[in-house]
Amino acid sequence: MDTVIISCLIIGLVVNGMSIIGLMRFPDIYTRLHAATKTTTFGSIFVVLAIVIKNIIYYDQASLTIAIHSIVALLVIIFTNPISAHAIARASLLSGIKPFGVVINEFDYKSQIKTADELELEKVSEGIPDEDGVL
Amino acid sequence: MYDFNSIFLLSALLCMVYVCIIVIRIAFSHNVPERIVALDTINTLIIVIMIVLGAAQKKALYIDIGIVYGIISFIGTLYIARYLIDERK
Repeated sequence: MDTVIISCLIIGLVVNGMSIIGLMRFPDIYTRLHAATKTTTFGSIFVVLAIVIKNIIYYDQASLTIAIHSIVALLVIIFTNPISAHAIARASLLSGIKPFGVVINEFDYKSQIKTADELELEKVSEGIPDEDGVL
Repeated sequence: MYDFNSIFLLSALLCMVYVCIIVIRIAFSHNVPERIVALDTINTLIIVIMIVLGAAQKKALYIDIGIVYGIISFIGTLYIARYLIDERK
């Protein structure tokens, strides 16, 4: 069982290290969010799993408390991490930051909605008559 | 049987090295949301560090500190995101 504990710990730490590589190498916020959120959640699941297995096998006075509290801390990580990632992505999209290599932001509705004067100008230039029949 | 206390202490040290690398990432990023992404990763890693330190020293108090830190940093991230949206308008 010792090898199971150590391999779970190594998997968790290596996956947490992958998030560091993704944060340093990716060009963009929206790609960095993939690297920052999912890998840290996955890695912390395995680290907590290793600690829980260790505390169940080598049982002593404080081990049950440590196991239960670390499971609660894992639940905090699992619930808060995707919500904060969604909030960051929405805020950066609404504050006008385009994805890497993209020319037109399709989600920026405000720049695509035209005012009434611009629509009138388009009708006049294309020769479409009004409701009254006047150009 | 391995000496699990020192193994957990070493893994906490490795996570602290990760945090130092992300601080470099924060210093050399271009705009505010990239910094917030890196800060959010630091928050998650600090919860992991607190869990591992509490398991290494057999104190559940560290893990409680990690839980409270996670909840407060979550609220902080949400409010910074809301501030970014309101700043645009």
